[in-house]
Amino acid sequence: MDYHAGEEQTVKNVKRKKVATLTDLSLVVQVAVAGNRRAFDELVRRYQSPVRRFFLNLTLGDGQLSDDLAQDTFLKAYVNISKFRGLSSFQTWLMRIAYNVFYDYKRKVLPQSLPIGSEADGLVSDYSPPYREGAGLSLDIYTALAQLKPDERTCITLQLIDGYDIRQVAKITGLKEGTVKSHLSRGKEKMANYLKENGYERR
Amino acid sequence: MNEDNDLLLKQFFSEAAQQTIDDNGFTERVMGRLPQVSHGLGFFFASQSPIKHFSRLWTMFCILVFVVLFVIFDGWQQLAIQFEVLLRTMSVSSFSINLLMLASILFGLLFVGVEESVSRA
Repeated sequence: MDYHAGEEQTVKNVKRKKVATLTDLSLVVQVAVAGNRRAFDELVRRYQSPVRRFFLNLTLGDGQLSDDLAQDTFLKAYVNISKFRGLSSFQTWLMRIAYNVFYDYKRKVLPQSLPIGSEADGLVSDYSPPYREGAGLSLDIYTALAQLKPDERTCITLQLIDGYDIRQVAKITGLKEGTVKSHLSRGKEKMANYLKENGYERR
Repeated sequence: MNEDNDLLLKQFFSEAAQQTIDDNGFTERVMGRLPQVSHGLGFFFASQSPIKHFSRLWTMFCILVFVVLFVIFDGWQQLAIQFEVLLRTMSVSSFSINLLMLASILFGLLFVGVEESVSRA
Protein backbone atom coordinates (compact mmCIF):
# COMPACT_ATOMS: atom_id res chain seq x y z
CA MET A 1 0.00 0.00 0.00
CA ASP A 2 2.79 2.40 1.07
CA TYR A 3 4.81 1.28 -1.91
CA HIS A 4 1.96 2.25 -4.31
CA ALA A 5 1.44 5.59 -2.58
CA GLY A 6 5.16 6.30 -2.87
CA GLU A 7 5.18 5.30 -6.53
CA GLU A 8 2.18 7.53 -7.22
CA GLN A 9 3.93 10.44 -5.53
CA THR A 10 7.06 9.86 -7.62
CA VAL A 11 5.02 9.83 -10.84
CA LYS A 12 3.34 13.07 -9.74
CA ASN A 13 6.70 14.68 -9.01
CA VAL A 14 8.11 13.63 -12.39
CA LYS A 15 5.06 15.08 -14.17
CA ARG A 16 5.32 18.28 -12.13
CA LYS A 17 9.00 18.64 -13.04
CA LYS A 18 8.16 18.14 -16.71
CA VAL A 19 5.47 20.84 -16.55
CA ALA A 20 7.83 23.17 -14.66
CA THR A 21 10.16 23.36 -17.68
CA LEU A 22 7.44 24.69 -20.02
CA THR A 23 7.10 28.36 -20.93
CA ASP A 24 4.14 30.42 -19.72
CA LEU A 25 2.63 30.42 -23.20
CA SER A 26 2.80 26.62 -23.51
CA LEU A 27 1.14 26.28 -20.11
CA VAL A 28 -1.60 28.76 -21.05
CA VAL A 29 -2.25 26.87 -24.29
CA GLN A 30 -2.47 23.58 -22.39
CA VAL A 31 -5.02 25.06 -19.99
CA ALA A 32 -7.03 26.83 -22.68
CA VAL A 33 -7.10 24.01 -25.24
CA ALA A 34 -6.89 20.81 -23.24
CA GLY A 35 -8.17 22.03 -19.87
CA ASN A 36 -4.94 20.78 -18.28
CA ARG A 37 -5.24 21.57 -14.57
CA ARG A 38 -1.64 20.57 -13.82
CA ALA A 39 -0.49 23.30 -16.22
CA PHE A 40 -2.59 25.86 -14.34
CA ASP A 41 -1.21 24.55 -11.04
CA GLU A 42 2.27 25.38 -12.34
CA LEU A 43 1.18 28.89 -13.38
CA VAL A 44 -0.22 29.52 -9.88
CA ARG A 45 3.02 28.25 -8.31
CA ARG A 46 5.07 30.55 -10.56
CA TYR A 47 3.10 33.70 -9.92
CA GLN A 48 1.60 33.36 -6.44
CA SER A 49 4.48 35.30 -4.89
CA PRO A 50 4.37 38.47 -7.05
CA VAL A 51 0.56 38.55 -6.99
CA ARG A 52 0.33 38.12 -3.21
CA ARG A 53 3.13 40.65 -2.66
CA PHE A 54 1.29 43.15 -4.89
CA PHE A 55 -1.85 42.77 -2.77
CA LEU A 56 0.13 42.93 0.48
CA ASN A 57 1.49 46.31 -0.60
CA LEU A 58 -1.91 47.60 -1.70
CA THR A 59 -3.62 46.44 1.50
CA LEU A 60 -0.70 47.66 3.63
CA GLY A 61 0.21 44.22 4.92
CA ASP A 62 -3.21 42.60 5.45
CA GLY A 63 -2.18 38.97 4.83
CA GLN A 64 -5.63 37.39 5.02
CA LEU A 65 -7.22 39.92 2.68
CA SER A 66 -4.28 39.68 0.29
CA ASP A 67 -4.60 35.91 0.05
CA ASP A 68 -8.34 36.14 -0.57
CA LEU A 69 -7.84 38.70 -3.33
CA ALA A 70 -4.99 36.67 -4.82
CA GLN A 71 -7.23 33.58 -4.90
CA ASP A 72 -9.94 35.56 -6.69
CA THR A 73 -7.33 36.76 -9.18
CA PHE A 74 -6.24 33.23 -10.07
CA LEU A 75 -9.83 31.99 -10.28
CA LYS A 76 -10.67 34.82 -12.70
CA ALA A 77 -7.52 34.08 -14.69
CA TYR A 78 -8.54 30.42 -14.96
CA VAL A 79 -12.09 31.19 -16.09
CA ASN A 80 -10.90 33.75 -18.66
CA ILE A 81 -7.67 32.11 -19.77
CA SER A 82 -8.95 31.61 -23.31
CA LYS A 83 -9.16 35.42 -23.60
CA PHE A 84 -5.37 35.71 -23.14
CA ARG A 85 -4.10 36.79 -26.56
CA GLY A 86 -0.38 36.85 -25.81
CA LEU A 87 -0.08 40.55 -26.67
CA SER A 88 1.63 41.10 -23.33
CA SER A 89 3.38 38.66 -21.02
CA PHE A 90 1.22 36.33 -18.94
CA GLN A 91 2.44 38.07 -15.77
CA THR A 92 1.34 41.50 -17.03
CA TRP A 93 -2.06 40.05 -17.99
CA LEU A 94 -2.35 38.46 -14.54
CA MET A 95 -1.40 41.70 -12.78
CA ARG A 96 -4.07 43.53 -14.79
CA ILE A 97 -6.63 41.06 -13.42
CA ALA A 98 -5.19 41.54 -9.92
CA TYR A 99 -5.53 45.30 -10.25
CA ASN A 100 -9.17 44.95 -11.34
CA VAL A 101 -9.91 42.52 -8.50
CA PHE A 102 -8.50 45.01 -6.00
CA TYR A 103 -10.55 47.91 -7.37
CA ASP A 104 -13.72 45.78 -7.52
CA TYR A 105 -13.12 44.96 -3.87
CA LYS A 106 -12.60 48.63 -3.03
CA ARG A 107 -15.80 49.58 -4.81
CA LYS A 108 -17.71 46.97 -2.80
CA VAL A 109 -16.40 48.01 0.60
CA LEU A 110 -16.37 51.76 0.07
CA PRO A 111 -19.53 53.81 0.58
CA GLN A 112 -20.95 55.05 -2.74
CA SER A 113 -20.23 58.69 -1.92
CA LEU A 114 -16.48 58.24 -1.57
CA PRO A 115 -14.54 58.26 -4.82
CA ILE A 116 -11.74 55.72 -5.13
CA GLY A 117 -8.45 57.37 -4.32
CA SER A 118 -9.93 59.86 -1.89
CA GLU A 119 -8.12 60.46 1.38
CA ALA A 120 -10.93 58.74 3.27
CA ASP A 121 -10.50 55.36 1.60
CA GLY A 122 -9.46 53.75 4.85
CA LEU A 123 -5.97 52.90 3.66
CA VAL A 124 -4.20 56.19 4.21
CA SER A 125 -2.36 58.04 6.94
CA ASP A 126 -4.68 57.17 9.85
CA TYR A 127 -4.07 53.49 9.22
CA SER A 128 -3.15 51.08 11.99
CA PRO A 129 -1.41 47.89 10.86
CA PRO A 130 -3.52 44.71 10.73
CA TYR A 131 -2.00 41.22 10.73
CA ARG A 132 1.41 41.56 9.08
CA GLU A 133 2.67 39.16 6.46
CA GLY A 134 6.32 38.79 5.46
CA ALA A 135 8.47 38.28 8.52
CA GLY A 136 11.77 40.12 8.41
CA LEU A 137 10.45 42.79 6.06
CA SER A 138 10.72 46.25 7.50
CA LEU A 139 7.38 47.39 8.90
CA ASP A 140 8.16 50.91 7.78
CA ILE A 141 7.34 50.05 4.20
CA TYR A 142 3.61 49.64 4.84
CA THR A 143 3.55 52.71 7.08
CA ALA A 144 5.31 54.67 4.36
CA LEU A 145 2.98 53.35 1.64
CA ALA A 146 0.04 54.41 3.81
CA GLN A 147 1.02 58.04 3.17
CA LEU A 148 0.02 57.68 -0.48
CA LYS A 149 -3.32 57.76 -2.27
CA PRO A 150 -4.30 54.36 -3.71
CA ASP A 151 -3.42 55.25 -7.32
CA GLU A 152 -0.04 56.61 -6.26
CA ARG A 153 0.53 53.53 -4.10
CA THR A 154 -0.34 51.21 -6.99
CA CYS A 155 2.03 52.97 -9.41
CA ILE A 156 4.86 53.17 -6.85
CA THR A 157 4.41 49.51 -5.90
CA LEU A 158 4.37 48.34 -9.50
CA GLN A 159 7.44 50.34 -10.46
CA LEU A 160 9.69 50.32 -7.40
CA ILE A 161 8.84 46.91 -5.92
CA ASP A 162 7.59 44.81 -8.83
CA GLY A 163 9.97 46.38 -11.36
CA TYR A 164 7.57 47.30 -14.18
CA ASP A 165 8.35 50.23 -16.47
CA ILE A 166 5.90 53.08 -17.06
CA ARG A 167 4.42 51.51 -20.20
CA GLN A 168 3.71 48.25 -18.37
CA VAL A 169 2.27 50.08 -15.36
CA ALA A 170 -0.07 51.92 -17.75
CA LYS A 171 -1.08 48.60 -19.31
CA ILE A 172 -1.80 46.99 -15.95
CA THR A 173 -3.74 49.91 -14.50
CA GLY A 174 -5.44 51.00 -17.70
CA LEU A 175 -4.25 54.57 -16.99
CA LYS A 176 -2.59 56.82 -19.56
CA GLU A 177 1.21 56.94 -19.42
CA GLY A 178 1.06 60.66 -18.57
CA THR A 179 -1.25 59.95 -15.62
CA VAL A 180 1.06 57.17 -14.41
CA LYS A 181 4.01 59.54 -14.62
CA SER A 182 2.25 62.19 -12.54
CA HIS A 183 1.14 59.60 -9.93
CA LEU A 184 4.74 58.37 -9.73
CA SER A 185 6.15 61.86 -9.46
CA ARG A 186 3.73 62.91 -6.69
CA GLY A 187 4.07 59.58 -4.89
CA LYS A 188 7.87 59.64 -4.98
CA GLU A 189 7.97 63.17 -3.66
CA LYS A 190 5.63 62.32 -0.78
CA MET A 191 7.56 59.17 0.04
CA ALA A 192 10.95 60.88 -0.08
CA ASN A 193 9.72 63.70 2.17
CA TYR A 194 8.21 61.20 4.59
CA LEU A 195 11.45 59.18 4.74
CA LYS A 196 13.58 62.27 5.26
CA GLU A 197 11.25 63.63 7.97
CA ASN A 198 11.49 60.29 9.75
CA GLY A 199 15.25 60.20 9.67
CA TYR A 200 15.70 57.57 6.98
CA GLU A 201 18.94 58.43 5.22
CA ARG A 202 20.65 56.78 2.32
CA ARG A 203 23.28 54.37 3.55
CA MET B 1 17.11 66.39 -6.38
CA ASN B 2 14.88 63.91 -8.20
CA GLU B 3 17.79 61.55 -8.70
CA ASP B 4 18.56 61.71 -4.99
CA ASN B 5 14.94 60.90 -4.21
CA ASP B 6 14.96 58.03 -6.71
CA LEU B 7 18.09 56.55 -5.12
CA LEU B 8 16.64 56.96 -1.65
CA LEU B 9 13.41 55.21 -2.64
CA LYS B 10 15.23 52.47 -4.55
CA GLN B 11 17.26 51.72 -1.46
CA PHE B 12 14.21 51.87 0.79
CA PHE B 13 12.25 49.45 -1.38
CA SER B 14 15.14 47.14 -2.27
CA GLU B 15 14.30 44.69 0.52
CA ALA B 16 10.63 44.58 -0.42
CA ALA B 17 11.54 44.07 -4.09
CA GLN B 18 13.49 40.93 -3.21
CA GLN B 19 10.80 39.54 -0.92
CA THR B 20 9.52 36.14 -2.04
CA ILE B 21 6.40 34.77 -0.43
CA ASP B 22 6.44 31.04 0.29
CA ASP B 23 3.58 29.08 -1.21
CA ASN B 24 2.51 27.47 2.10
CA GLY B 25 -0.41 25.61 0.54
CA PHE B 26 -1.73 28.64 -1.38
CA THR B 27 -1.61 26.82 -4.74
CA GLU B 28 -3.50 23.83 -3.33
CA ARG B 29 -6.20 26.15 -1.97
CA VAL B 30 -6.57 27.83 -5.36
CA MET B 31 -6.66 24.49 -7.21
CA GLY B 32 -9.27 23.24 -4.74
CA ARG B 33 -11.52 26.19 -5.54
CA LEU B 34 -11.26 26.06 -9.34
CA PRO B 35 -14.72 26.08 -10.90
CA GLN B 36 -15.86 23.50 -13.44
CA VAL B 37 -15.04 25.42 -16.58
CA SER B 38 -14.61 23.50 -19.79
CA HIS B 39 -11.82 24.92 -21.88
CA GLY B 40 -11.13 23.97 -25.49
CA LEU B 41 -12.60 20.63 -26.59
CA GLY B 42 -14.09 20.10 -23.15
CA PHE B 43 -16.60 22.79 -24.18
CA PHE B 44 -18.59 20.16 -26.12
CA PHE B 45 -18.73 17.69 -23.29
CA ALA B 46 -19.36 19.94 -20.29
CA SER B 47 -22.48 19.43 -18.18
CA GLN B 48 -25.10 21.89 -19.39
CA SER B 49 -28.80 22.30 -20.10
CA PRO B 50 -30.38 19.68 -22.43
CA ILE B 51 -31.10 22.30 -25.12
CA LYS B 52 -27.50 23.52 -25.18
CA HIS B 53 -26.26 19.96 -25.11
CA PHE B 54 -28.48 19.01 -28.05
CA SER B 55 -27.48 22.16 -29.91
CA ARG B 56 -23.80 21.33 -29.52
CA LEU B 57 -24.30 17.72 -30.51
CA TRP B 58 -26.19 18.89 -33.60
CA THR B 59 -23.34 21.27 -34.47
CA MET B 60 -20.82 18.46 -34.12
CA PHE B 61 -23.01 16.21 -36.28
CA CYS B 62 -23.29 18.87 -39.00
CA ILE B 63 -19.53 19.47 -38.98
CA LEU B 64 -18.92 15.74 -39.22
CA VAL B 65 -21.36 15.37 -42.15
CA PHE B 66 -19.73 18.32 -43.88
CA VAL B 67 -16.24 16.87 -43.51
CA VAL B 68 -17.35 13.41 -44.73
CA LEU B 69 -19.18 14.84 -47.78
CA PHE B 70 -16.26 17.15 -48.51
CA VAL B 71 -13.90 14.20 -48.62
CA ILE B 72 -16.28 11.85 -50.51
CA PHE B 73 -17.09 14.38 -53.24
CA ASP B 74 -13.51 15.57 -53.52
CA GLY B 75 -14.31 19.06 -52.23
CA TRP B 76 -10.92 20.59 -52.89
CA GLN B 77 -11.10 19.58 -56.54
CA GLN B 78 -14.61 21.05 -56.88
CA LEU B 79 -13.53 24.27 -55.24
CA ALA B 80 -10.46 24.54 -57.44
CA ILE B 81 -12.55 24.02 -60.59
CA GLN B 82 -15.15 26.57 -59.50
CA PHE B 83 -12.43 29.07 -58.67
CA GLU B 84 -10.75 28.58 -62.02
CA VAL B 85 -14.06 29.00 -63.87
CA LEU B 86 -14.76 32.11 -61.84
CA LEU B 87 -11.39 33.62 -62.75
CA ARG B 88 -11.72 32.75 -66.46
CA THR B 89 -15.28 34.06 -66.83
CA MET B 90 -15.00 37.04 -64.55
CA SER B 91 -14.16 39.48 -67.31
CA VAL B 92 -16.92 38.34 -69.71
CA SER B 93 -19.81 37.36 -67.45
CA SER B 94 -22.45 39.83 -66.40
CA PHE B 95 -23.39 40.21 -62.76
CA SER B 96 -26.27 37.98 -61.68
CA ILE B 97 -27.58 36.68 -58.39
CA ASN B 98 -27.77 32.93 -57.97
CA LEU B 99 -30.87 32.46 -55.83
CA LEU B 100 -29.92 28.93 -54.82
CA MET B 101 -26.54 30.10 -53.56
CA LEU B 102 -28.09 33.09 -51.81
CA ALA B 103 -30.61 30.79 -50.07
CA SER B 104 -27.78 28.48 -48.97
CA ILE B 105 -25.81 31.36 -47.48
CA LEU B 106 -28.89 32.74 -45.72
CA PHE B 107 -29.68 29.29 -44.33
CA GLY B 108 -26.10 28.98 -43.07
CA LEU B 109 -26.24 32.39 -41.38
CA LEU B 110 -29.61 31.52 -39.85
CA PHE B 111 -28.15 28.29 -38.48
CA VAL B 112 -25.16 30.12 -36.96
CA GLY B 113 -27.46 32.81 -35.53
CA VAL B 114 -29.81 30.30 -33.89
CA GLU B 115 -26.84 28.37 -32.50
CA GLU B 116 -25.38 31.59 -31.08
CA SER B 117 -28.71 32.63 -29.50
CA VAL B 118 -29.15 29.19 -27.95
CA SER B 119 -25.64 29.17 -26.55
CA ARG B 120 -26.12 32.63 -25.01
CA ALA B 121 -29.52 31.75 -23.49
